[in-house]
Amino acid sequence: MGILNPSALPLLTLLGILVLIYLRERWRKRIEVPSLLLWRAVKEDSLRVRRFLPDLLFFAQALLLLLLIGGLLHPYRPLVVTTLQGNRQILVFDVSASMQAREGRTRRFELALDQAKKVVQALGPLDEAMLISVSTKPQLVSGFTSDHRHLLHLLETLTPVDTGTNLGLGIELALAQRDREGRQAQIHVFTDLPQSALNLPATQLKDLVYHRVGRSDDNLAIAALRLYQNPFQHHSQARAYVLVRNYAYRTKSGQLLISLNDRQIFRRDFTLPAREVTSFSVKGFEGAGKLVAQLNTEDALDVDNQARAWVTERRQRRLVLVSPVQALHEELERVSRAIPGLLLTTMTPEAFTPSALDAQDIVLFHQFVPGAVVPANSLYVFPPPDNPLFPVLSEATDLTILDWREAHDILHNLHYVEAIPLKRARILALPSWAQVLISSRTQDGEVPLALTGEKDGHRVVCLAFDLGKGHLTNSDNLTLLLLFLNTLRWLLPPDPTVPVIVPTGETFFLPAGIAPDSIQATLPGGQTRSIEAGAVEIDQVGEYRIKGSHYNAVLYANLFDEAESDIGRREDGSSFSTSVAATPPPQELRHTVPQEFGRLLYYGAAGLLLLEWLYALWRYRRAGAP
Amino acid sequence: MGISDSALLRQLDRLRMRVRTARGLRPGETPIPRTSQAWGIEFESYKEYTPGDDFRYLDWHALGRLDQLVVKTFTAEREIPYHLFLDTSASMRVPAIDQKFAFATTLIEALSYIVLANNDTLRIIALTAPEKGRLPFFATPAFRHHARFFRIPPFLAALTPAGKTYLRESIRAYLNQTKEPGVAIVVSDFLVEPSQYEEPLLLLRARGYEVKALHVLGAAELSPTRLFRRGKLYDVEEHGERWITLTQAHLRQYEAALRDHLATLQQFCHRHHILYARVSTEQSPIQVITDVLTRAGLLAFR
Repeated sequence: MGILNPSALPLLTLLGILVLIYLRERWRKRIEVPSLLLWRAVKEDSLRVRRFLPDLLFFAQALLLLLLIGGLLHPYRPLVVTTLQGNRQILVFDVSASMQAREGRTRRFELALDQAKKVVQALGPLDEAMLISVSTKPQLVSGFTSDHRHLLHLLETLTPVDTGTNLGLGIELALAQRDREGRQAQIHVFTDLPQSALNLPATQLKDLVYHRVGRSDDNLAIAALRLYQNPFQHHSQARAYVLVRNYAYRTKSGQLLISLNDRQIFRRDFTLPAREVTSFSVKGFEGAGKLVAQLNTEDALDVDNQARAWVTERRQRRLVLVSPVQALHEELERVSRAIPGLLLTTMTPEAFTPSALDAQDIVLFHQFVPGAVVPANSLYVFPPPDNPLFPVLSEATDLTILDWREAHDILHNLHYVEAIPLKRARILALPSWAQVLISSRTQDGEVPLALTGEKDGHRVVCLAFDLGKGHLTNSDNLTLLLLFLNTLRWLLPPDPTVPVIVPTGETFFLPAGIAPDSIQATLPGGQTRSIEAGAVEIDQVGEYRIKGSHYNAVLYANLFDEAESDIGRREDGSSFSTSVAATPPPQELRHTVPQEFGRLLYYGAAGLLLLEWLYALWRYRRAGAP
Repeated sequence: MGISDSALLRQLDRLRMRVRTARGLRPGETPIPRTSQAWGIEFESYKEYTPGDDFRYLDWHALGRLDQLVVKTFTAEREIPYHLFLDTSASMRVPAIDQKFAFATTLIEALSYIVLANNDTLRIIALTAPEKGRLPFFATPAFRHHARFFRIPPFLAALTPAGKTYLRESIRAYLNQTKEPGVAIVVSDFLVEPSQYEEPLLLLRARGYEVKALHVLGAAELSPTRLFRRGKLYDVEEHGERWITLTQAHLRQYEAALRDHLATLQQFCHRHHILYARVSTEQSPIQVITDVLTRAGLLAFR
């Protein structure tokens, strides 16, 4: 027995109110008699009379009240229900790139598919199954269903993708779904990965029915394609490196072809011993454009035999310096002369007008902050007090750099950040849109020395210390010069004509402000896909073309995943299961359900009311009807 | 209530009032036993002739046989003046379930019907509380014919029981205004101290009235458990309150007090030759009139 609505319990105080009403009525009510003459002989008994002595009507009313409150409480009694329920199975299916590996005349994917179909076909009529596909992210293809034909159809629609796998996450999802609704499900995993690669505890692994497929290790792959070219370099100065790895446990031969804009510029035949790696370097490109590396070899996996990169055309980058310090003007002019492609314009704050920023890539404000945020990527150095963008709290001297964000692009390859000379620095209050890049510490706490952030769609960097007085070109302050050049590089706006290089398995997001409704993505295979929520899942190797009325972009997707290319995985002793055990018969489930009987109490209250009414009618007719 | 029921009226036609001593001055239709007169219908006796007697009633046969002058005398028949006193104090309306006042007015109506049917004189006097500038009673004129009966129900219907019981003051005030005695029937619950009813009843006796006390008791007065089990009793006349729990012991105490009260009243009436009849609202009016009042000697069948 229990109640479903305890919030009605306070209504029981109405019983107390009923008692009070009765007492009040008792105290208030007078019984008229012709005379007290005869009652003088009877002893007065005020205490006993005033005591609460319920009568039949009170009991009837209290019962009526209790029945109504009881109904509102929604009382229930537990009812044991026995149902026949089938077993539950969860199929976790690996659709990563390595599942495309050939095993004789078929692929690992089809082998696993056959195993999964056998599991589904062995299910009893009441059995239910759930299907989860796993690549870099798990995806619930179907919830628990007993429609086995539909499940087989869903299996047929699965296709392998050119990404890595996060099978552990998929199994975690299956484990989370396993104990739903008090029914335990059995988890089947279909993959070519060994169990040791899952990084799951042994207690969880032992509950899995593991269907591992694939024995071949025959794979030669492009492990990496790197193009080294900074924004100020000419395409002839760019250098490409191709890393080729033999994942097979035997010597393999192959041929590497590299083409620039579909024109072959490199061809090399090679032989690689088992599990060895070699690299090829290409330089002296005659032009800018698409660079494709293609590996011609007989192996089990094709998807990692190609890679793409882009040789960039150098173009003029415009930098505006606004500073009251003439020495800095001269110093930056010397720096700009040493950087090909960098066009410097200098001006004093007094000469600065917003129109001076037209067609400029980067603006450098030194000891000056304009009244409004400028519509360009900008670098602020040693901002003056009372500026509108970076609230200056105070000034400090001889600070020491204590912390910095090493992973940030500005600090890339910068090994001696603490060597940056700091004579004077402003103590800035950190704006809400900014993050600390380099920081020091005073008695009042952490002090930001360099800030990065994005404001109104433009990148902003602020250095709280001064660059002036010959620091940039002094050979003792090479770290400061590298920091400055890295900052300029980070601030350079991207070239929209240059393709974006993306590893498969990642998500490409449209820039802010681009409506995804009018944009379509053309996949490497030629299929088109509408873009949902402004994001494109990159799951195929090749060239993606994103087209819209106001936005165009090209993506080059490469698979450089050692875990996927190393299809042999001999280091593990996992057994290869091919037989499917018969599923146990449906089980009887006994569970309790609350059977509410509040409505019966309402009926009881109505019946009691009816009885009272009939009794009153009977008394009325008996007593008095004229 | 009321006597509009034809069955009750037929019963009333069979009844007459029983009178022992009262008589009026006017000739009427009520024979007065052991009282003779020189004229009449029903022969009663002889008396020696005295000068002035009517010669027409000389018994010539007796003169021839006995040589004595004797004249016949007849049973006297007189018109009896009836004075029906109705207690209209507040105690007559409670307990409400008893409907004592309605019961009493029904009895008054029935008695009035019988009196008027016998061609006697009737006045109904409603005894009320004394108020300044007003007599402590309402009285009808003297009705003499049965055709006047229909003026009685409206008079009774206009009465509302209220106030304290003032039997003494009201009856005394009435007697001061009335010269001709007759039969006085006092209809009341007599729920007052004995001194309150003894004095007016004795006063009526002293003024030559043949007094009859009609004691109306409510069923709830006889059996108070019908009214309550416990509670605060309220005296509608004296406005006193008393918390009572009706246990068996208390009930016995009440019943003893009631018995004492009734016995005192009854013994007083017997001692002073006052006819006493006790009626209860438990009984039906027809039962009271045809059975209780005839056995008590107030009424007799023709």
